[in-house]
Amino acid sequence: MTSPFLAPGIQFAWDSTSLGWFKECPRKYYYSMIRGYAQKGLSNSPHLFFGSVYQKCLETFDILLAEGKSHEEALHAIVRLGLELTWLDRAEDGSGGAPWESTDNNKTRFALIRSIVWHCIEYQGHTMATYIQANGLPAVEQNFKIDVGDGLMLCGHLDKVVIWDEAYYVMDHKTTKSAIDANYFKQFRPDNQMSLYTIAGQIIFDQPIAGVVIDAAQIMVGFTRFFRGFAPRTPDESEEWLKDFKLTVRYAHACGEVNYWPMNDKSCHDYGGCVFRSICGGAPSVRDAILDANFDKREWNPLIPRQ
Amino acid sequence: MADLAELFARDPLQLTDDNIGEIVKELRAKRENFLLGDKAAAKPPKPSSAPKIKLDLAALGLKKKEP
Repeated sequence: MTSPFLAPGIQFAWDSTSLGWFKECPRKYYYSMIRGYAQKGLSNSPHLFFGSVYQKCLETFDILLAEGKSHEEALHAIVRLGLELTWLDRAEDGSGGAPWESTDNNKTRFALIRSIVWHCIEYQGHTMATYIQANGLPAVEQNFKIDVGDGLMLCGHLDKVVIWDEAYYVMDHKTTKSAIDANYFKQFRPDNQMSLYTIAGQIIFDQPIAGVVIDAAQIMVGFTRFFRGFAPRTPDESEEWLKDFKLTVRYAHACGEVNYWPMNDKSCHDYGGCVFRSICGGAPSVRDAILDANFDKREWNPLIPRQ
Repeated sequence: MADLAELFARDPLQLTDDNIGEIVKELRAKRENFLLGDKAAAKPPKPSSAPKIKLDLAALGLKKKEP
């Protein structure tokens, strides 16, 4: 099955993104997930591109180390990988192309390569050990679709599972331009994505997962700084999140059954303002025209694994 | 030896293993410099050893007048 919907408006396969939309505002979920609208240019977002290549390089580093490559060999390999992934628009025969030019002053191609090199040096020798599964494979780069009962699935991608202080944690890489301090990590408890990852890690790897370790990098023009913090989850917190998830989905399905998605007008101004604020703030009769003129169309499907 | 900017501008398929090594070496050196700068920035500034100027408050009209 390739559609995350059982019937129009009745989503059964959820990821943290689509669930987050609904939790913020059912109307936002309707525009983003059901109608498929996204902010113009989001697919070219320098932040998304930077983050995805950064993550890919660090995942590859872990795999190479697990395969027995030395630190230096693996580091050189991912520098080459990072440079190649950020060389765009090659012809079919592999010729031509040009380096990615970011529209963000901090998250540039140079900063990306600098960040992966500095990250590998920063944590050399005192890295958190990657969990090696019973089949000998490192627990890295894991796309997942898991049955959580009641006909529902949770989908997503785990960067890796690590062992720290005799406990298992999912590790998630984050890049930001903001200063990283104790307050930065407070945002992850409670947090939709971290709770979902904890539950996914437990089911996939059949190990008690104590939570998520956030491997954060502050990306600035002249430097990158690294910090690690924890988003712990007790078993009863995970159970509570799963209960909340199923009730939230029941509400989403109720909206789908009547094809009406109410606005949460207390969310409109959060995080710099919802991208659909101007839509909801306008007359219903003109909203579709404004959406078509000012937003891109793209399908968001939690069932499609991340490349 | 090519500089970093030139190496970054080159098609990665044209970069040799030595070129990659140069990039890693340069970035490693930049990190060392950054860490040294960070350490220096974290230290409180030393108190100045310059002689302190004595202010004549009366001459400046800042002394409280006696009733």
